[in-house]
Amino acid sequence: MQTEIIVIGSGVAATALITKILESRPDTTITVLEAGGKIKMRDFALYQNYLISNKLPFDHQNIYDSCYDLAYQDRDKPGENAFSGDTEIPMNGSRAFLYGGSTVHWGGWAFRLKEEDFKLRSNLKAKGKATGDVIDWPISYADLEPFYQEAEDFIGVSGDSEDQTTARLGKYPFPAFPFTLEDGLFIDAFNKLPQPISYAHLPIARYGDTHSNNSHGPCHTTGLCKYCPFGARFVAANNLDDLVSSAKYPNLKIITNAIVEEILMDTKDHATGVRYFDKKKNIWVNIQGKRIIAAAGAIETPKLLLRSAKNLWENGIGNDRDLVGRFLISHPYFFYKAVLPKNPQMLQPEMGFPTLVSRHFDSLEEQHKGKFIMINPPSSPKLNLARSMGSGKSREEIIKSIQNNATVQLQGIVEVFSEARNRVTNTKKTNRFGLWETKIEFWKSPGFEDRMKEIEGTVKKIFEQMGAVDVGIETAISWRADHAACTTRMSSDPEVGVVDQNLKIHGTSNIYVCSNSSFSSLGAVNPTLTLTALSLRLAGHLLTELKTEANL
Amino acid sequence: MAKYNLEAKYFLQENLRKLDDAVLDKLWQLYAEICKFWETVEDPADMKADFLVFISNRIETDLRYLIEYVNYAEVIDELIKEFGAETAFKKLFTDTQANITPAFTNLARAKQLVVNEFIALNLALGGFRTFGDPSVPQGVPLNYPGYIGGMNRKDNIPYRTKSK
Repeated sequence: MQTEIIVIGSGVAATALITKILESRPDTTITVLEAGGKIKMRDFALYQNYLISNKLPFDHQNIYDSCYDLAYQDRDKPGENAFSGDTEIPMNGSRAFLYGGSTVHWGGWAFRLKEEDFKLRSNLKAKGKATGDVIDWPISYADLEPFYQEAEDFIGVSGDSEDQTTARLGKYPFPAFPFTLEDGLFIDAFNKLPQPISYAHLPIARYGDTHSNNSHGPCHTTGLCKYCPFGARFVAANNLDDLVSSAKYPNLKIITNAIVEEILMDTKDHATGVRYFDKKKNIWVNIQGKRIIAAAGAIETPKLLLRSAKNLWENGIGNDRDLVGRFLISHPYFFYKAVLPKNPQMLQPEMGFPTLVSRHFDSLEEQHKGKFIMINPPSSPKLNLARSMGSGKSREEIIKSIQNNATVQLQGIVEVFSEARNRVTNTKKTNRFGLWETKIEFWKSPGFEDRMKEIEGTVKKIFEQMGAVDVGIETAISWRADHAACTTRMSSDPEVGVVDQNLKIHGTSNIYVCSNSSFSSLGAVNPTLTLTALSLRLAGHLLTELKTEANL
Repeated sequence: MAKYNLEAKYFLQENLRKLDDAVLDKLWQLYAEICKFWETVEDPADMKADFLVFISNRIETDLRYLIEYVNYAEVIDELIKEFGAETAFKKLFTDTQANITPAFTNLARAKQLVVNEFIALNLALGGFRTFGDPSVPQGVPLNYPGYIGGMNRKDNIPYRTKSK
């Protein structure tokens, strides 16, 4: 039997895509190939262990180590993958080779891009700024808005429906989590500035008290949100489990430990299937499929294209113009801190996720400099009651310590623009998963340091308004590849992009790319909601195609 | 097919899963003493069911906890015999030698793998509420990592919020 759809990767993109297809067409034959294994989710005993030991279940089982990239090799450690350029982009910890993909370890921040993000090149041009290698999206915010709505329902976002930071036609499925009392410190400072800074509730993928479309429990705001025993934090693995265990979808098959080596083609424009290595059975397998969906993230997807069908595409599928794997960007993450001289209210972060975000800086006016957003992080240093008690401190000592010790933080992400020289390729070695190791080449743009100085100036003003002292940098900027994107950009013009507006690779008839790699630009917000929206949009497109075929 | 090719499963013998009642009583006594020492909960009786689930899950997750709980019982027996109950628990809670790394003494193992874990459990089950400024309703901080505080509903927000 020929599978109708082969999906490579089992993260949120794959899960949203196949859920929508199966809901409309339950008999569709779909095979999902996942390079990683599976870990146990929604287990109260593991949750309690996390509560007591602060070790994630994956740590406890030593599984996290086994699903992460190792750090780059250096003099003292063998490591894996390779890097060149002036700014290292660490892969270690940025993605997870797992059933459910990186949503198993994500934070759940679920922002929409804004209207101007879809027109980056045009807007730079209109401002008389250098456009460099950036492009516009071939679709607009309005095109994606209905799918954003669908995506928010799918991953269960709690958000403020009145917030017009991004225009929305419908409400969030769940109300926003209220600002914490500690957020109030920042809100008051924002309001007191000569030019007040706007702020909003941070939209987050945690199910509220009711949700008719899923079997997951509601959020209980436990504060240990990296592992939720109720499945209240969206994790694609839980949704996949629901699909697999349902009797309604007999032709859905998810194969783990399947290392896809290449996409197979019989003509230059037509794929016939994929070739993968089944690690469990220790055999190579060729599987036939009518449509191939590469949903393996912004690193593995271009690498797969680059090594496939070399007899028909000399430089890899869709790469006659040397665009596949180029234009890599992620989000540099910054950390600032300051100290409050006193803390009479004994304020501390009380949640496991942020509730306050400032997207004021995420605007058309600042777009040409690279947008940025800021949050009041839940990871601000706080007094650990359990540790204090465990160390033998008395009740009085602990209370005094909270009142005298208050560090506040601002963290955030900055937009950087795609440049052709920054790219992802395969090395000639395989890693412990059996996948080809990755080589990243990355240079930061010349104006980046100046941009960070501007951001630091803004942060200092906010801390000053709070009466905080000793303002400083908590940690050097993290350039980790968590939000890696744009390596197979979407464009109606094959001269500048790899996939068309339906995510189909230019020059092919049945290969699609559904990952952050197909973003035309990244904006200054986490990409997952936009990816989910694109996946649901692609599902709609494929359903139309399947329906047309059935009627022929 | 050879058995070694089948999926590995480990079945614990039922008699190994169970703790002696006397050990369980000693563990519950410890939990109550934590409440008393840090003044977290006046009467922990309502927490007993959650406490027992925790013990059971701990052993289910890691069989070695059977030994750790028995070790604790032996340690506390010895301490009480030597110092009397009040001083014994105070020593257990405050003796810095009990937190040495690695925890190679019986006392250190009892402290780090049993006492400190029960402290975290006690806080997560609501013990944290009484901490802090007594003038602030419900104590401070109002939320605690691990506290299962109720659904995300407007009428049930288990953390301090900024008033509008």
